[in-house]
Amino acid sequence: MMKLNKFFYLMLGAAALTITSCNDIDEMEPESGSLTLEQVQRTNTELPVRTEASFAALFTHIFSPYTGTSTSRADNFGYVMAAISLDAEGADLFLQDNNYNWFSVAGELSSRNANYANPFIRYGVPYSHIGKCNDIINGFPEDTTDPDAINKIAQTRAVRAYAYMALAPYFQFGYATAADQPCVPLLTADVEDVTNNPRATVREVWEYIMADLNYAVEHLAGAKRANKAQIDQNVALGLRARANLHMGNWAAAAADAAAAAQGYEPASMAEVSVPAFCNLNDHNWMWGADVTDAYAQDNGYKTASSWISAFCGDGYAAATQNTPQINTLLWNKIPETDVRKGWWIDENLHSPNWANVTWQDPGNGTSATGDDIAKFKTSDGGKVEFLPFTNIKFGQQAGIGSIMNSNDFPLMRVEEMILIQAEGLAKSGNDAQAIQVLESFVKNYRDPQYSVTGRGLTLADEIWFQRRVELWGEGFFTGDMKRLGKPLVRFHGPGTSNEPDAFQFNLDANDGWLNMRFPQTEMNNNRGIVDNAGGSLPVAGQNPTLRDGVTD
Amino acid sequence: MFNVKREIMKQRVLMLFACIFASVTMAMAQSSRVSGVVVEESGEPVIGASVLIDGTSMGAVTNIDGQFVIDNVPSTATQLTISYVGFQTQKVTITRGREMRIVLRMDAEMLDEVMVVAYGTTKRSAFTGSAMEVKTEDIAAHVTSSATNALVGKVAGVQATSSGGPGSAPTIRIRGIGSYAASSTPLYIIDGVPMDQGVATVNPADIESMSVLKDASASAIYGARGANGVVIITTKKAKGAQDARVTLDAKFGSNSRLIPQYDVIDNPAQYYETHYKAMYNAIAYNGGTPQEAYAYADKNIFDQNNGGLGYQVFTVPQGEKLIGTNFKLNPNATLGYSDGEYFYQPDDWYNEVFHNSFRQEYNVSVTGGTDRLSYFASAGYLNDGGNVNNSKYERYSSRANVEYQAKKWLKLNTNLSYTHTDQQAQNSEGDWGSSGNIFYITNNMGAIYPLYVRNADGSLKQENGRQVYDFNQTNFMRPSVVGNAVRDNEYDSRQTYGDIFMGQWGATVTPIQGLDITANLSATDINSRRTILYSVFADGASADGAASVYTTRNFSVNQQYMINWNKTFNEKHTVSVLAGYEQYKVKYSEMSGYNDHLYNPFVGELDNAKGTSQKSVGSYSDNKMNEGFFGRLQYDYNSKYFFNASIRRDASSIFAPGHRWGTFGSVGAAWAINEEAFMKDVEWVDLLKAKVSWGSTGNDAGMGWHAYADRYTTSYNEDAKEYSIAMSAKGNTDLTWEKKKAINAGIDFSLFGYRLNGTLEYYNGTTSDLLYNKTVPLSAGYTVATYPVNVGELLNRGWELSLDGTIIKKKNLQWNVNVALATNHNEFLSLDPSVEEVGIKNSNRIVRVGGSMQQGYMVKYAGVDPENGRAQYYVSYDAEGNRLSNTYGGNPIAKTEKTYDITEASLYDVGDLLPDLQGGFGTSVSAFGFDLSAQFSFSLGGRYYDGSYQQLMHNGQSAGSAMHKDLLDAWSPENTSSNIPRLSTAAIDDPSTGSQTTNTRFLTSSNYLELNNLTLGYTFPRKWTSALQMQSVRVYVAGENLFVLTARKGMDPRFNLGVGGYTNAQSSSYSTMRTVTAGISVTF
Repeated sequence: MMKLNKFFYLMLGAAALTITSCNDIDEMEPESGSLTLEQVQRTNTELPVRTEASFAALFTHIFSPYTGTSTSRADNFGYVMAAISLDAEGADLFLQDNNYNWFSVAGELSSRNANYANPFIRYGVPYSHIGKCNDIINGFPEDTTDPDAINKIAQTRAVRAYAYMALAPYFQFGYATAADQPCVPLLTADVEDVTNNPRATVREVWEYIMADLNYAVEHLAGAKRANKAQIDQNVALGLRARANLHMGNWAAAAADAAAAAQGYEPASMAEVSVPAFCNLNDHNWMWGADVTDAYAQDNGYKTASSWISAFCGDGYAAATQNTPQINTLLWNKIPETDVRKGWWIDENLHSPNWANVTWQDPGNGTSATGDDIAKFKTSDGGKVEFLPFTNIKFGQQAGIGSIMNSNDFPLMRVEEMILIQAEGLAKSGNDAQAIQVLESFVKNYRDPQYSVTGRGLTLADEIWFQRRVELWGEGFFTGDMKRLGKPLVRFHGPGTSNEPDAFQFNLDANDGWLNMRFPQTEMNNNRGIVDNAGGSLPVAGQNPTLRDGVTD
Repeated sequence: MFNVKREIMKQRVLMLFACIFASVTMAMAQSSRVSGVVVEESGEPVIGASVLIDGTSMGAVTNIDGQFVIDNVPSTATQLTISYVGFQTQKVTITRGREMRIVLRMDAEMLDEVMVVAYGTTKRSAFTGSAMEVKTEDIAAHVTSSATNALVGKVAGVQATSSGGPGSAPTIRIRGIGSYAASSTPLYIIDGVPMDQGVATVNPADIESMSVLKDASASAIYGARGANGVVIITTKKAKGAQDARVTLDAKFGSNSRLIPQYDVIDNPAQYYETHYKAMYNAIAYNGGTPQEAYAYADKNIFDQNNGGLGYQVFTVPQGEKLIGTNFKLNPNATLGYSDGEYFYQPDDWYNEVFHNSFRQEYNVSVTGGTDRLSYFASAGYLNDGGNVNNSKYERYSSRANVEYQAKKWLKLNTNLSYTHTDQQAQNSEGDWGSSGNIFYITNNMGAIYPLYVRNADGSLKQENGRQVYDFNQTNFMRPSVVGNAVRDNEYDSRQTYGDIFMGQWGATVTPIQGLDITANLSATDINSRRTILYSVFADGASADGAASVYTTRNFSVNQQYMINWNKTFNEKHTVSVLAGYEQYKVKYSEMSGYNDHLYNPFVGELDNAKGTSQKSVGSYSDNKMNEGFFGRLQYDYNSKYFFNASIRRDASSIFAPGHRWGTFGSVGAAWAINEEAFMKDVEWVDLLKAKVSWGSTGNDAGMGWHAYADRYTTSYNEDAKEYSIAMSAKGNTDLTWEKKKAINAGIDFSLFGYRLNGTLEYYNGTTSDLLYNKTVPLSAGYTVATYPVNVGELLNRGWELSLDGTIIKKKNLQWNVNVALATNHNEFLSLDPSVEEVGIKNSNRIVRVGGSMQQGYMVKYAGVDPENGRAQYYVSYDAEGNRLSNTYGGNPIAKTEKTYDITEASLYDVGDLLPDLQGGFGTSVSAFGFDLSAQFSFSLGGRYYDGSYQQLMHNGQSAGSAMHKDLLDAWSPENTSSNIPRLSTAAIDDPSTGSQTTNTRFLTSSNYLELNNLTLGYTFPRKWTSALQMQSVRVYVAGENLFVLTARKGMDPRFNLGVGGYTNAQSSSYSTMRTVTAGISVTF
């Protein structure tokens, strides 16, 4: 027991050593994976260029999974998912009535269920975007004169307007009839209690949008953006054109659209007579979602490639016959001479647009070209037989059959601006000019034989027809239908449409079911919300006599 | 070593001769002889007891009948001393001339078990808290890969979920659910060190005991990590100087599914008929004429894109329909259909996929010691097969525990264990709704679908010698389930290798008697490497084969420094003081890589992957640390009154600086009533102790490692040369410990010579500052929908009773029974003021003041409208006629109606779903070398949400999915009293499956009774085995998880502990396995 002292002190020393090193506990940080706020701040201080990253995130938000629900859901991909949903809720685009279809809630219009993920994501994405915008705007001094800061604020306010525009049309009827009805909550600086933030009126929401867009248009003058995922003055003008169109400011809409289109030329007939609409670099795109390879690798099924392109080797749609198809009510109205007729394969699975397209199966080396692709099946079932009227409008950026789901998604194309200009002119009493704008576009870029009166529609309906064909699959149908006060017409009675039988129903223009319902989470946590009501889940075959003026 | 053993053998043989000799001499009885018999209280003879004549060296050893004879006893001798291990030594007065009868009493000291508790051991009689220990024998009875199975039904207050596939362990909860959003998992300690590895990686054969510390006073010294109770695992070691014992154990058996499939429609004709009727009804009941309805069903029955089934597997004569207008299969239809290219017939996926598998396990151990060195060494091998192909868990384990008394004042110990695991697992296991999940698709595949592709002549199609599976490549397509997960499971490979090293090095210095200074250092290194091959013959075809490699490393170091001082004053006052410091640090790292285009289709490694565009790599690390100072004071007055108090000051890096440290502690007292003078004559009471304790503990687990901080993820856009950053989680710098304060009061008793032992306890604990993720309105604009806060209080209280009795104890017959009963009341006492009135609502449960953790909150089913067969739900309105989406916490209900529209239905509080009583009982009988034991567990009075059943009750809405036979009894004009809504594929007739709405229709009693274990063994007579130089040989058959009785066939109420929903993953997951094995255990 004697010689113990040495040992004893040694042990005490060891213990003391450990204890003194206990400030270690303040050094437990993640090493990538995620960064803590502190690490972000330190990075920003030492490498100031990194501060740009939170601004850039405004634009990746557009197609990224919403973190408010499971990010692994195959239908969780931001505004792009909302665009597909909005068209699938409409009359012209459908996916199948089978259990692979994650958008079937849109097809059957059960997306009014307060507990469904689809409307939850469509509601959560814009609001979380708005929150980010507010953070960025508030991060700058209010009286800043730094041109870079002002540019960022202007872009951010345009993004915020875009976010509100993804909500406002769907929670209430159009501006023309419902300007004073409740719309959605506004997240302004005046909101004191987010748990009691009632719905602003339609007018208030659009005025808020307009204020943001006015600022953006004014302050983006002459500024060059870093890339086409960001916003420049043209895009801001384009957004304001959309807002004016919705509010019925026809002349302003036409003027904004014309200004927005400056410097852009529509895609040529040659360019759109092959599968396309998947590349941000296309000259007719003014603004788009820029999906990178890295993103696609991590989120392969949650992409435009997976859901709207026929040529995706490892996605949902091509493997399950859910590549969106066109309703024959609309397709039948497209003349043979229109290059867009070939954006969908016909009842015989033919389209001239894919004559030179080849799909090769790496699994067994077999391949198919042109119309043979329709019946071609890959050895792992990644592509099965296509159904008649399947779209081949959207290509696959990484190559036909590629498993790299990196398709970009168009958010604004010059063609839309031309159509807005035409509509604005027509409705502000300048029919002749409108016809000239419309004919010049369609004749030169889509259908050499085009005549505005060819279908015998009113000018307004003809313009809507052009929008429905040109912008098919890009998320415009439902918004247009509501601002135009049109009914939802998917069929004209038994045997008139190729939509799945269960999705064959029509809704009157003032049917309350056309308005979205608020998610349960929102109602549980924001007691200011009074939900929409009216209408009921449609049943197959209802209202067969309704007509929309275009597909009659 | 061999020589030593032979020597011992020789001695034993001699002793046997001595016995024989003794009985021979007895026949020649003389005067001055003392003779008699030594028996136990039960009357059973005690063999080998030593009988000594006091004051002499004369004596004898009792023979096989307990008899002894001593001749030539001097007349001066008056007393005998009789001793035997485990019994009290007795002195008796010699009676000459007649046979003496001496009854030996069990030694109370021996029977007063020593239990392992926090940082040491204690005697059961001195313990003031609540704990229960499960010993090696109980663990050995279970033939499972994870020792925690032995706790189920045996330890009152331990609740467990069912375990799944090979290598999985049940989830354990101790005394209810103590936490809202944070983890409710108990702290596992192995040989004094917090355990990082899963309990299934510890070989149960190495475990000496498992102590479950249930109350806060017992676990308070673990501070921040003790709030959910503590399971202390102690591995085997030699008990002082002993001859080496070598034990060999080998088991062989089979694994199969314990939980059967639900009663699904397995007749293809019936399946078509039911779906056809649903299609017909969709039109006929929604405005169509019968003609239109038949036309719709006829047109679409085979059209998978129009609500139909896709496949035709019956041949019907040209021009005839498959299903007649009477909704019956065309009598001319024959099973099997050829379209000229392929032949289609249904396969029984369930029977094709699930099968029994082989299980084998071998363990060898050596334990022994001298007066200064003791050791235990073991090696084990387990191969646990799964019940689907390419599913297994192999474990190679080894352990060496050595203790060396280097000096009188220095003791060193080293425990080293190394485990290697080799596991094959299934893709997407547990993923609800995933086509890649073999369990999900097999349990939910409709009865008409082929698994294999057949040539037109009906033969199975082969391709380059490989079976061709149906993945929708024929001329038919299923309406759900892409690909073929059975094929993928066959050709893909998912292999995980794990290496777990744990080393502990300790030194105890004893400078003066009663003072121990201990330092313990331990390191745990867990490395795993998983490779996945996506086969070009399966789901990897479009990638031309792909490989994913994923490695993880979890390295933790735990340091403990303790001073322990023990002193007894005046033989009455015993004081024990403990002070220490402990630090735990862990670093977790991950690395993953993926690439495609495999040259060799069978090798899932990256160097075999030649692609470039999809190549990806990634890695990250993370760090966490806990540290704390602790102290404990124990005082014992004359083994009659016991007091103790403990304290721990603990820190966790999970919280922000300034909120990291917390103080926890406990006090306890016990009174050994049986030691009082007035109890002296009550001989049948061996122990009667009243105890009461209070303690506080904390919880920091389950909120991530950086819960205080806002966290961000980053990405880079190569084309735009631009980084972006987005918030991925919102933190809270004010976040701190969840604190639990609990009292425990009870009685421990042992009666009738320790024949009946029991504990009755009451506990009452409140967790405050609950960690939970607060939901914000979506319109508040947060990137994330929730952030963590501390708020509210949660109560758990209940009664527990454990009884353990020996009903019969004779030489050749012993019968024991045990019972464990526990109640738990779980209730929120307070919440965040912002939600105090309205509660926190989900679509299946509500968190509200006065409600439990599992308070159901859902749509209320109002039965079928007998007029039209539609499902009805309740909807309530307030006084102004506004529909109440939520009926809790808002305007009062003024009116309640029924509605057909499930989206209009109100949500209601439907009560607590937790069980009223849980527990188990068991029995063991040993007689004439045979031993038979059974252990049951049960639960009463709770409810379980049977989402898997809801999914099967889809009424035709999930075309192509399996249907439950109950659907055959759905409402029809001829069957208007049915409580099952009419069949229909129309969305408007959704019976809550299309909308996946949780509703009371699928709340089912969670009562169950399970036979966890049944073992029958036979130990060969000693005289046979000793001839073979063996100490003992036992053969046995054992069954684990033999049956479970539940309210519905196929339902497993043990799948989760709470409210489930439609996407409840029971049928998506590995179901519990039944294991039947035979084994032999030999000791040398």
